Amino acid sequence: MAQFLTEAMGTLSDAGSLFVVAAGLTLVFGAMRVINLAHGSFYMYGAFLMTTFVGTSSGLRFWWSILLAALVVGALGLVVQLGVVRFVVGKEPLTQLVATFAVFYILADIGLHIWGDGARTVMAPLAVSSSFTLAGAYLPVYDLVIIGCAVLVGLALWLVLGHTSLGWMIRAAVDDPEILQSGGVNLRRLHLGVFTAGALLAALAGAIVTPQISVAPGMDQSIIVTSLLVVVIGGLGSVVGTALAALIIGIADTVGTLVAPNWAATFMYFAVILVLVVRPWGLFGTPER
Amino acid sequence: MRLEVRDIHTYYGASHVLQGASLVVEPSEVVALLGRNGAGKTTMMRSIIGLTRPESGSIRLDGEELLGAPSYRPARLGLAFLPSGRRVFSSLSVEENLEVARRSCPRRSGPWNTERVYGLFPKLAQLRRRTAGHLSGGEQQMLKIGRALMTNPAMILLDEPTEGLSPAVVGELGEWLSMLARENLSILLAEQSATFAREHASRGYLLEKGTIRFEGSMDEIWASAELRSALGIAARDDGTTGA
Repeated sequence: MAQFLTEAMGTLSDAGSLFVVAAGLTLVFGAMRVINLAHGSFYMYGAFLMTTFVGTSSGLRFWWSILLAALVVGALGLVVQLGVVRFVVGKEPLTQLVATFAVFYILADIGLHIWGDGARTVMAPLAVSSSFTLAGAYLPVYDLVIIGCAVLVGLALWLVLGHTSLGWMIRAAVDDPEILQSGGVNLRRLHLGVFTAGALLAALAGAIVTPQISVAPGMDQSIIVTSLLVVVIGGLGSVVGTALAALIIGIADTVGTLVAPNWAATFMYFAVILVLVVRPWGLFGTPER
Repeated sequence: MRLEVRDIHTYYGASHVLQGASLVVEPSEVVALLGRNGAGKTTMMRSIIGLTRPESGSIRLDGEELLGAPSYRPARLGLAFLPSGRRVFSSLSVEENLEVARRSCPRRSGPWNTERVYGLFPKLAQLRRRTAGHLSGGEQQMLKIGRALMTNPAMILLDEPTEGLSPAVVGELGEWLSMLARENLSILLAEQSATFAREHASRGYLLEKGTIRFEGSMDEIWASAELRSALGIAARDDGTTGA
């Protein structure tokens, strides 16, 4: 029981941060039909900026740093959208992949120049770096922070997309961008907002996981692969699907690690193949016509 | 609102679809754009809005040049576009569709709001929470008109509104069009069904292979056996009011 609780908590926390990253990716894909490979870079920048902003201090500054890192990367997203992505919206998928992949490499190089190739760590504030006991299991409080953040992001997305006219407009852009634009909406501006929000979400996830990981170059690559898996299983463009898929990937990873540690990644891909055999368009996606 | 299209040339890739077409819609006028499938009617509509950009020519809306303007501009000036087919925001509810339309042109004011649209289409009021993708063809047509009205337009471009509708719904559509005309809206109606267009339009343009082959009153078009055969109207089909 104790081991189950420990594993369950860890899985939920991993799935939570994965959901926040992937939600940004799926939001951008849904509204703009662009698969943004540089999304992983935004995640890594969120984490690196966090190490810079927090420094050696702990306490209140930690929370401000998360916010600041997300905002700075949001601004970076704005620049990437204006400088690159807006030129490939509506173009061939291959063109989009090459363009965003180029951004991915450029940002990786810049990151290397700024932060070097060593691993960095961040200490969580004392208040959330302890553990608590539940049914005999020692559970890290910080897992609760990540899970709570994921739930908040999920709720916010549900509220905005389902219950505000701005959200309906973003969904309308998913349904039929041409009709939305000819109805009077400046689609480019909408894209700018959505892309910035997507970058912000990636950075938020990157910043918030820093106390649990070592921050180093390469994390941009691993996260983009995993979040692409999540987004594909969930159904491109679906936030609910993304949440469920993040959970599935998280569970597959945990079970894989427990059963056959050397084959953990295989478990994850196996889950992907299983879902896609049954529903090629993902759990909550719609078949392309 | 007055629309003047002058000598536009529009291409789809290498194919020269509109080859110097011109037309005028005067304020409060209902004008038909006739022609067979592939004549370039939809391309004309898309060129006016800017969804497909003409290479040259001029498109003036009350004097403002639309050629080269972003395609969200016409709606903000009061020119609403109703594309053919099932083009509604299919994952949104009826009410959300209307609200998105209103918010798309926030600066346009006028008599139309959700309540008035529901007054015109009581069926939409009943279906306000229904997902638009699940509506019937006729209901989607209502929603498209309702969405256009929410932007308080002065002119409406209707592309093939009767396409795919049952005869009963085409009858209703005719009533809605008459109502819009009574509201002093200008309408440019692209139609393959010349008999439907004749009931509503006073003037018409016949588009053939990307150029305007004839322009004149609907009666003139009907009087010419040659034009009638160009439109695919049988010799004995006299339309509804007789030639």
